[in-house]
Amino acid sequence: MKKLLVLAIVLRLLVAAFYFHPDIKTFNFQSSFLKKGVTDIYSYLVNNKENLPFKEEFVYFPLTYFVTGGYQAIVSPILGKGFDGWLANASSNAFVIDPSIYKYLVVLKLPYLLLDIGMAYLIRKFFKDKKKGNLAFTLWLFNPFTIFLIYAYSNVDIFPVALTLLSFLLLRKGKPLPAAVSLGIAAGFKLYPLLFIPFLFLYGKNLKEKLILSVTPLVIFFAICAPFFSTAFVNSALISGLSTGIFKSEFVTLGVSILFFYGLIFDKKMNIFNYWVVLFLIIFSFALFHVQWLLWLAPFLVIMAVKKPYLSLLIFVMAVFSFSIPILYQDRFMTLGLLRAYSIYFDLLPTPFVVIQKIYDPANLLMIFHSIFAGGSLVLTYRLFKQKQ
Amino acid sequence: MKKMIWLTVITVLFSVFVLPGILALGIRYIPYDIQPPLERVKNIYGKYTISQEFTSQESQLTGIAMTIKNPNLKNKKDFYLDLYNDQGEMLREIKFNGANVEDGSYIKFLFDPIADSKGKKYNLVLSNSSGDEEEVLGVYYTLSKPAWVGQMAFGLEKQDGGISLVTFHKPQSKLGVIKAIYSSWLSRLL
Repeated sequence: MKKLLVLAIVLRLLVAAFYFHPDIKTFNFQSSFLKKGVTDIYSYLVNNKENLPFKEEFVYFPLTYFVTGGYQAIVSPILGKGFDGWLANASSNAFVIDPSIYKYLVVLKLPYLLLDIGMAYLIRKFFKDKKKGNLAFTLWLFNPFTIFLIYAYSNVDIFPVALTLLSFLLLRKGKPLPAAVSLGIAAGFKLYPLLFIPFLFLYGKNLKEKLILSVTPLVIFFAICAPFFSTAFVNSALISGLSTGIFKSEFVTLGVSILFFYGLIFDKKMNIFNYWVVLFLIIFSFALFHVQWLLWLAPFLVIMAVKKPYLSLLIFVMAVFSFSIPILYQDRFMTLGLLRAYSIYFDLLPTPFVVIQKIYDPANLLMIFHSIFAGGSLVLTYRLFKQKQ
Repeated sequence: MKKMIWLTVITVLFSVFVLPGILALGIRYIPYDIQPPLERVKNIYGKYTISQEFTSQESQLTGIAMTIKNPNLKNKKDFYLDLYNDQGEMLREIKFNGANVEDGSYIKFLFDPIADSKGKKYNLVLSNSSGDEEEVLGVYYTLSKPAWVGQMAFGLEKQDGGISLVTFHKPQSKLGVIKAIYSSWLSRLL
């Protein structure tokens, strides 16, 4: 097992060092202001927009700022003097040919590695059977999807994902309050864990537990956000496209409502794990999602693939299609742009979108892939709920 | 599970070490140097043209790129880049349409390669003669131009600085491109 762990770490470091997504530079540039004593990043960026090399607002929630900014402050001796200049370099080419880029990428992604390995151990704890636990541990470490999702796309969502996983483990162990606290802290990084609150309310065994599970995360979330509440915070984070994008498709609202009413009226013995998985299957079936969001579901699908091996092939095929959808977006950084740390020559290649456009409408292909994923989701949902009955 | 471990190991090693080389086979032209900073803008329309002298640093000159402003996509007309040699003979004329130029986009004017371009002087003229004051195209230029970029002129008036341009050259061989990519990567790594 130790050898496998070492191999898993080496593979992750390779992708972390050489695959570059610009998000990591953007949010680390923004987080670097913590070292200079800025605590309200939302207002600071809005008020100083004119003088900053990057004009983007901070779209994440406060804990992302404090954790990534705090980590940067700790590792700044390793990053060296040139790091802040690299972050602030707005020339699209000069910063990728900087020889220190590989060091910066590895150091900035090290917290992801710690959480990623930590999640492998958490996943193992979901199983009483040691053999199955080890299988899930290995499957988490050795699947190409999560390695690229986390390290190639510089996925800062790993913080809330690890916390929601912990929350589910605590819930499973019959500890509703710590589970609710963990979910609330996760929402302090990104809003999406709050989507689950109505289902947690249904899940509570009595009114007290229902209130603990549904109110605690909200209280923690508001406590984290309260000091930063301003127009800048509301516009940048709370109602940004990243937070509200899920509900741009009315089918998502419809699907989530059906799931909720099914739980409310028919399901007297809720399996909360199934609801969590189906909630995200609905979102990815109908919303125009960011590739990073796929990580929200990944650890839960690994657990499911081991617990219900007959679903593993379906889960694998759905993972392939879900990964193919963002590749078809008209966004270089879903594909070829990730290779810019090797050479800027890759800027000269057409994206899959442009190549496909020559023979077929990529938007249509995107819809086909979404429909296939939705079909798979429907079958998976049916099997999950049928088996329970 | 062994299959999944092998699949993961092979996918990662392939993506990190082999994929860049395979994708490099698709590169048909390579830039000489990176684009100089985008500091200022000169607007061209009607009789106001912009010209720029430069010396090609490589053979097989096959394109010139620059960043152009087209606010709110107002210009939807044809505009031209004419390339002259140092004798004033026009070698290439490339037509572009404003409808394809988003504001601030990096535009590549590609043409048939000029085989013996290395070390030779050229002059490019960018004109938007059918555009009026409402249909200006803005050309980015810099005051810190590289040595191979020569005199810039706005109409007939000489100007300081130079257009933030990049020249493209057809690679001598596919293998040369692959070698250039891996050596650039390794030189920064080691």
